[in-house]
Amino acid sequence: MKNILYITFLFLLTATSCQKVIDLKVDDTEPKIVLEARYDATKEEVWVRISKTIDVFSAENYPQIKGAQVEIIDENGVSTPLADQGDGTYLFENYVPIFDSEYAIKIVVDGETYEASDYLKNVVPLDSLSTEFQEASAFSEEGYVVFMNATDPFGSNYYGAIRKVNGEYRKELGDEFLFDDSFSEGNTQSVPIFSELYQVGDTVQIELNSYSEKTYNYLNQLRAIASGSEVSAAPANPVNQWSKEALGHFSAFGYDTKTIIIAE
Amino acid sequence: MKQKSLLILVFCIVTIFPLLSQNITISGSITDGRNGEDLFGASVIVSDMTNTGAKANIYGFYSLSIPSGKHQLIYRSSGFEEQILNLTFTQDTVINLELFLSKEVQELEEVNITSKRTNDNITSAQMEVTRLDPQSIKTIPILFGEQDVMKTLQLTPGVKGGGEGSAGFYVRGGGADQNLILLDESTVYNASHLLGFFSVFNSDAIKDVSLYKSGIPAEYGGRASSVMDVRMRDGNNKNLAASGGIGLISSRLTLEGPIVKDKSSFIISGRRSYADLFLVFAPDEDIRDAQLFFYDLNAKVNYKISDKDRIYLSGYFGRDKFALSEDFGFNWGNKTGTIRWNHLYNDKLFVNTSFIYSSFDYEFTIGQGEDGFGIRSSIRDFNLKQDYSYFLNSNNSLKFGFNGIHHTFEPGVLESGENVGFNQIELDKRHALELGAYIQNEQSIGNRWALMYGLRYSGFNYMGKGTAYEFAENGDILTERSYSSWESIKYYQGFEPRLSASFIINESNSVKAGYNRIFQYIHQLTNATTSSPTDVWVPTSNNVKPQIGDQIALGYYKNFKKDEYQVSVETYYKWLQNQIDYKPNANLLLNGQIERELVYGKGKAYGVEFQLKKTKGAFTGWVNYTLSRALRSFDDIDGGEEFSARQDRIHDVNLVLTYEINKKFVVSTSFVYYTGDAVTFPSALYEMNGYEVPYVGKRNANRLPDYHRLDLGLTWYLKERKNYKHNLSFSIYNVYNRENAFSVSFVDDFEGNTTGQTQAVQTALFKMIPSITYNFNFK
Repeated sequence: MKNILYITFLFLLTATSCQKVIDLKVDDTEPKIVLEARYDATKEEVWVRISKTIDVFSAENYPQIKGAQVEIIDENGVSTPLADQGDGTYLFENYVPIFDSEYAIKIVVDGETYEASDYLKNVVPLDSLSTEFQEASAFSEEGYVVFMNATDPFGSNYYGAIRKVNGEYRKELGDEFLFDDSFSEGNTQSVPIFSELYQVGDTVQIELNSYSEKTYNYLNQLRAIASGSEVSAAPANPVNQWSKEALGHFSAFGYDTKTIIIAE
Repeated sequence: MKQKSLLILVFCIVTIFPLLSQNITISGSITDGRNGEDLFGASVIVSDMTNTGAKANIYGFYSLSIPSGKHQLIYRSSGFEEQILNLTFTQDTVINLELFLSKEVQELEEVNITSKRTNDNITSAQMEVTRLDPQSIKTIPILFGEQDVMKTLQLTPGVKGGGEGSAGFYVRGGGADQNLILLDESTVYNASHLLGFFSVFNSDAIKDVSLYKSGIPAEYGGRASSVMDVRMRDGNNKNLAASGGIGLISSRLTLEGPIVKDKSSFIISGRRSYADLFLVFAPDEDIRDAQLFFYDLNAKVNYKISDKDRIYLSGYFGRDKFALSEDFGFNWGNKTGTIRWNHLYNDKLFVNTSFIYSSFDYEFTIGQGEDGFGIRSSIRDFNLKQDYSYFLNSNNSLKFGFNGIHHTFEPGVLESGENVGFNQIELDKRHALELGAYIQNEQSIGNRWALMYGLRYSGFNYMGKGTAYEFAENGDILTERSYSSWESIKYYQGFEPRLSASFIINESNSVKAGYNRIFQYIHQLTNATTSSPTDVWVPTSNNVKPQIGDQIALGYYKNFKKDEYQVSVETYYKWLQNQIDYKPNANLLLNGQIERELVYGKGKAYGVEFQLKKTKGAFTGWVNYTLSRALRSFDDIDGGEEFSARQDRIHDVNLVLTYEINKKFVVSTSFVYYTGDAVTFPSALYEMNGYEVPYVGKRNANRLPDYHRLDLGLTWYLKERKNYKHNLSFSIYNVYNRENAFSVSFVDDFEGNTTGQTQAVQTALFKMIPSITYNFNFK
């Protein structure tokens, strides 16, 4: 909704407002460890990246932390080590999921042990995709909106929709459409994805991720902070997900996918 | 014979008894001879007695006790010709007096912010009250040429604006929600238009604005930091008159006149902006159809039923509307209404009874009909209030009264069209009764001391109908209980001592001190840097404690060159308890349990304010410098470490100068400088989910660049016709084109930056803006 306010501002101010680069002093902090861990149950792939923070105005690349011990542990306590890829990432493929169960990740790096867990929920099926033509408006040219048709199962559910258009993933910040069922609990619904309008002939593939509440909240918090801290009076780092102070998170999720070719 | 002596005795009792009782009472009203408006703060001085006099209250009523006999009474009000009466008083007397503008002022209706008497800043007990008469500020240059009492107040010491694009303001380190804003006694919850570019106060409809920032009188309560009391004009009861202005962004028109001459009058004043009319030039059809405007309507009537009774009815309606084709709409506004009855029990006891309505609501809609949905929220008050003024004797004037406000909060309603697939959501309404009772005395002791002391009792009953929750540390619901209508969920109360004392060293030097404690029972939750109409008001409840503000202040005042120059130094220290902030990552939208997203802490603010003011002559104006801090600490934010409030502007300088070149031209300038706002910037970067994410450092540990700006104004008084006065007012905002930071963002792709390196990019809202307004006055 803040965006809406800013549209209003834009109206008022396009005539005079202006932007420029300024010199600012920012207090740099000690580099902090960053742990990004993901278990994609549909692709059956466990992937971890270990890195550190860099200074705000730094031109350096993110450090790649090699030589850590990384393992994934299922609800029965069975531990499976990930392979060090040598570039700060760690991988294990063909890891068969047990849906509706808890997974944990354990990372030992620089003598410290970090643990985090996530609940792998059952995947909510995506029944179909449909389209609707939309006339040109103040915001956009004319085109087709894609709708996801799905039945929200009983209980709280958390979703993220990722688009692949003509074979290319949409990867910009905010391209994953995060939504929950708090306004639509248990309904059969048709959810529009307004982020983009398509033209006849476009191939649109949607991957509908089913997240745990914890991951969904984290992704929203991450989105809020990454989309520009200057808007909020109280910008905050996402809640720490690890057993020790570290940035990043561990998510375990699966997805259902459908593809549609836009036709008149 | 017997009969005769009895007659003599009766005669003696009738004539001599009053002499024996010595004191008689002179009372009445003081009004403006041009239009019959009450002259709040006008004074009567008994020139043959030291330290004896009276001041007219807000309704123009005064009462004075003096020994019978021959006296000289001087009636005064700033900018008006003095009236001197030499009379012999043998009994209680009513004198209703009209004052007329002084010659000097007649030529050019230009007066500056002044107190009632030219040395009233020295002699009154009340610590410095900033009073503005909207007519007196019209030459001060303001954005878009629209004179605005709130923007002008922000140029006075201790008052800081919310920044460009914000009508909110901060008084002495307090929060933006800690200012009680009253329009004819009615609370105004959102005093801004167009996201803060204008305030809701249309200067044409306003008689008087008083801002109390320390030693706040006991009659006011409910906000921890300050009181801004705005009074609407009553309307000309002598002749029909029209006035108005045509500007670039908005125009306004006021009509006023007698309904029954000298008994009853009305005023109606409207204003509308038309920024959206320019959109017809837009190339896009949807933008051409967009709406973006606000309007204001002030209306008031009054009727003198008898010499002892007068009733007033006043109302304000204002709304902002923004719509973009059928896709999106957003509107908000205030409605207030006040019915008042002034009654004079006798020549010493004046009472006013008011019934007051106030509401604020906002709504936004996306889509229309079956394919759309809308979210709205509101707050609504009913207030019954009675205030007594008792003029005990020439050294003591008492005020006492009580009031009760019934609040209804509607936190959020979502209404959805059939095709949208959202469930209807209506968050529980919340109810509360806010009570107040006070007594206060203004007393002079000898020639040196003037005191104002009082006590206010305040109570707050948070009550059903509704459900009350208790939350665990992590925000989980522990217990839940339903309450029926009017059933008390939690009652809070407190005593609020108020004190102002003035020691008059001599006619041109005085020292004053003040203390006040104020409980604040309703709170505004803000999560953005700019004031937004969607900021939520929440009541004190079983979870939220009342805010408590304590302030001590000390000031020294000196006038020299026959009160032409006034110098003041005021210093203060303020403690704030139960301050409210959000937990990190709080969710505010349609959140029925918003209380679990809150954290509580404390605050303090201190500072010293210097001011030099020139009040007379062709050259008038003021300069002030404030050195101050505003700090907060919350156990849940940075481990309880003290941090700067956003408005912690350490250095703050304001300069306002007006120069009357001749009867035709007045030039003016204002200059503002302050330390950049305290803000939170990222202190590192990391990569997550494929994008670059800032790591946030400590709360408000960074600063925006310093703010400064110079404005110029020129008012050209055009040739007068018999009944017609008019002028053209030109202004230039931000003369030297300073780009002041509205916000700073950290991006790596600004204007073709391909290095991948992050840069700090500031957005400035306004560069130089010239404007022109045509103002007229017709009788």
